[in-house]
Amino acid sequence: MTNLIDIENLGKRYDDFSLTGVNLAVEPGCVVGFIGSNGAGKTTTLKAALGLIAPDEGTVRLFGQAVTPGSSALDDLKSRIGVVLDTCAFPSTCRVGDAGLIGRAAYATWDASHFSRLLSTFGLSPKKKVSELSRGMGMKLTLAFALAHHPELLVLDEATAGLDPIARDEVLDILRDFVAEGDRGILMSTHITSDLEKIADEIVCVDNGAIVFTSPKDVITDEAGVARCRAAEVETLLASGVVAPGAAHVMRHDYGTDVLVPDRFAVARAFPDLVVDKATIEDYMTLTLKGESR
Amino acid sequence: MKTMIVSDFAALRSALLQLVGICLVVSLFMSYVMGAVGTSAAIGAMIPFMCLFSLAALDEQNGWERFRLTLPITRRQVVFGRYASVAIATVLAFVFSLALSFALLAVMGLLPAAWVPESLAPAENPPAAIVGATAGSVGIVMIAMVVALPLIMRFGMTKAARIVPLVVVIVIAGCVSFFDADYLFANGLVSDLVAWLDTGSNYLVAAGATLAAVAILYIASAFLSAKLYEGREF
Repeated sequence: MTNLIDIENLGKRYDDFSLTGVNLAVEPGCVVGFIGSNGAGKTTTLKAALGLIAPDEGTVRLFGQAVTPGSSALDDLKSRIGVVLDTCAFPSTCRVGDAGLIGRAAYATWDASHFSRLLSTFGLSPKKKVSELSRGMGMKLTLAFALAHHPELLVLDEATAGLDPIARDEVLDILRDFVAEGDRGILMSTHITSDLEKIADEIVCVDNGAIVFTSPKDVITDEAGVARCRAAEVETLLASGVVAPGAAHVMRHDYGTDVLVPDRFAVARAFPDLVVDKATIEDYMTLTLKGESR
Repeated sequence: MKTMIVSDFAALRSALLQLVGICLVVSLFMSYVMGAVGTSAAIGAMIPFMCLFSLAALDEQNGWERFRLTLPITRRQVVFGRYASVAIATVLAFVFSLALSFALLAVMGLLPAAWVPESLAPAENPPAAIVGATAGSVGIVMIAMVVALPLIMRFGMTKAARIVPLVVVIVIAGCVSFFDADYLFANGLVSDLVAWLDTGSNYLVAAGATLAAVAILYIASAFLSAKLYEGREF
């Protein structure tokens, strides 16, 4: 089956920042979490994926078709995508219901009754002005707008930021339902990695303009672990051969040393006295980016 | 293009309604001083300019301009849609200001002559002069938009706010140096023009010619903006 997004060797150069060799794919039925620190290149990658910027090198394909910024063919591709950026982007003078008018004008597949249902689910009054919405309510409006034309792909940039935990869970339920049909997918850039633990199938991490790792989420959260070591135990662990050379990431802090290991079960068997916790996506990212590779 | 027009007027709706109310009140005071001719010209010029800058400012709010490009709409459609929205607002302002002036004169006509201020006497406000003056002011505003819109589309409102005045000053300085005002007045060219306008229906002829010329410039400006907007990155 054709991937919803295929990004190959994407490169984009600015005066003070370069994106190089970015590869990323979203398969149908998958949720891909896109993580990285601020300014790492996530938004630049998403912009290139949506045809907002022209890459200097590499290719972007949506639904198997090459993306050419500014082309009318891109319009057809964009009509199959729902986008939520990091703010509620509708003009502050508009009312919530006006987003429905804009959606009806923009999308041939706009489903006004679905939009109304989503507004009702999110507790949004069509008469309310956009300027009166809290950040969380604004994000819900943008999400309702993104879903109301029955897209095949959702591109979310910090879509759950600003939502309270209960609202985040509601949104994640909606996103789960969205991908449950099997032929749809989500590319989700976020700093709230706990959301990705609940919903993502694959994690892609970018740092300083380059992909650092791409891994199935289960490999991170089920197989990988963080060994909580005293200083003397680190060398013993690394010299044991349980962890392949270069596969561990070591980070020292005031009260000990954390070692990210790819197979926590193997380490736990070899060192029964060592505490080896399950890794979270945040642990995995932090130790990979900041830890010393050993 | 339809998406742009719908979104522009959805964003402008509340501001336009407020502006209509303000114009009604302001016109009562302005007409006392300037007559119906001046009032119609002022309101006809004020509304489109206010719409243009409101839309340009809203574009930059909350990343709307960037988000809009994620909708199935090309950059050319964004530009042509914006020009269409501003043109529609201009036509509506033109009609509204004329309707307001003629309504004002009609009301004055119902009052005893002694109550009507001199500035609003029918002799001071011939219909052809009202139409001509309004078309003239709308034409001047449209020329300003012909200059401002490409800069706004290329640089955004914030940067364009610094560049547009510079360009306008350069254009005015160029015009002043090209057209020698002393020569124009000394040789009676200005008085000849005024005399010609006051003859028959020449105000209407001048109005039609002005609007036609400005419309051509406006369309050319739209194509220039489309070219400039293609290269803009968000």
